[in-house]
Amino acid sequence: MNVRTLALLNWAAHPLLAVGLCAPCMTVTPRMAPVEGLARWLGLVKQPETYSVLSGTWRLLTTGHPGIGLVLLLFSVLFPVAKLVVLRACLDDARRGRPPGPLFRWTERLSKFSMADVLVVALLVVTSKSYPGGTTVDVRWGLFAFAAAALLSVAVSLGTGRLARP
Amino acid sequence: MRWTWIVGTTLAILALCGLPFLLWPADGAPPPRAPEGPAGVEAEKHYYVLLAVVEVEPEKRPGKPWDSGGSAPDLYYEIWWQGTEVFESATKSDTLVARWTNVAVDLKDVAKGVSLDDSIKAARIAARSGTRPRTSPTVGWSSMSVSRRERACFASAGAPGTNSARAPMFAAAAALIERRVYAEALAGPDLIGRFDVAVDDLTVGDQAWTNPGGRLKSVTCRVLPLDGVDFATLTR
Repeated sequence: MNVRTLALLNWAAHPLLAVGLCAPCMTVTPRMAPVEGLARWLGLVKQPETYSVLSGTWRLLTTGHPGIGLVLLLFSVLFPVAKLVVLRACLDDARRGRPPGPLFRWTERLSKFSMADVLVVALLVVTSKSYPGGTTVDVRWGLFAFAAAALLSVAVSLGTGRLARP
Repeated sequence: MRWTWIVGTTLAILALCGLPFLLWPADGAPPPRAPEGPAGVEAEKHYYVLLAVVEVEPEKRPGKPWDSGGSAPDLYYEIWWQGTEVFESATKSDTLVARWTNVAVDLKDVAKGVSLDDSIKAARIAARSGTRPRTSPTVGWSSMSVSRRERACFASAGAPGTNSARAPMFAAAAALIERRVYAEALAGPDLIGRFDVAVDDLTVGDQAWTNPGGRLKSVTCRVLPLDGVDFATLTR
């Protein structure tokens, strides 16, 4: 892939990431089978809640899970955004015939963590199968946008790395 | 300068694309807004209506006590809706301030089997706008009253739906709720006060009126949705 194609892909990752961060990514539906009707009437069953990556991270940060919240904030929000910035700078350098700087190497190393949020939701979906009372976690389309943005930036990163190598 | 440009444009694009989702989050529902005060009743929905607190004047008339022994009256109230009595409360003895809870179970309930709905001591009404024929303004009117038990007073207080002062409201109002507060007396029920409220004027939650009519000093009315209200709210 040439610099122009990589730059286009990187631009495409921008809106995808924005949508992936802000669009609904999962819906948690609490249930209390087999006494759900009574439990719901008694106010013991909460309403289904839908989270985006941003709102889910914020929820973790503000409800006594700052550790997990910070990890997700770092690798699901800050790092993907920083990666887009670094890749744009690298592609700009490549267009001018300059080699990528040390930031790019760090970005490549940390890339493997940029799907942390997808991993967390996947784990939730799998573990929700064993939740009591039939509680479910459903994946929403925002997660696919987020995963697509992450995969696109991985592809751009690989392409930029190849351009840099002689 | 180059970094500023790259970071700036990246953040601008992210903000531009993500902003609609932040403004209209999750399921496309509007963002949660701060409560703007009590919510009115919605048309075509059903509600529980009860009087939570009633305070009456300390004397039946100036210089005349409620009961011959000087004790406070025994209070109860009725709720009339669409010309029909739809609820009568339990009687609170010897008090100037009576309080009724949303949920109560008495021996009568136990004898016939307790159900959750039966334990809710309130009138059930429907907020129904524009369904009454205009030629028949008495349909859909209702009332509440607090009294000492003297049924004859009903007639003098006016049958439900005859309150012409509320008539101009009829076009806009779904229905009227009439409240009658009684005090029990040896001679029978004695009407203390009666007042009408348009169903459209009801708000979900508690609302209080001062000097609503007769010898009523203040009345707090409670309205709860029939559906979608949980046990914690009902037993509040």
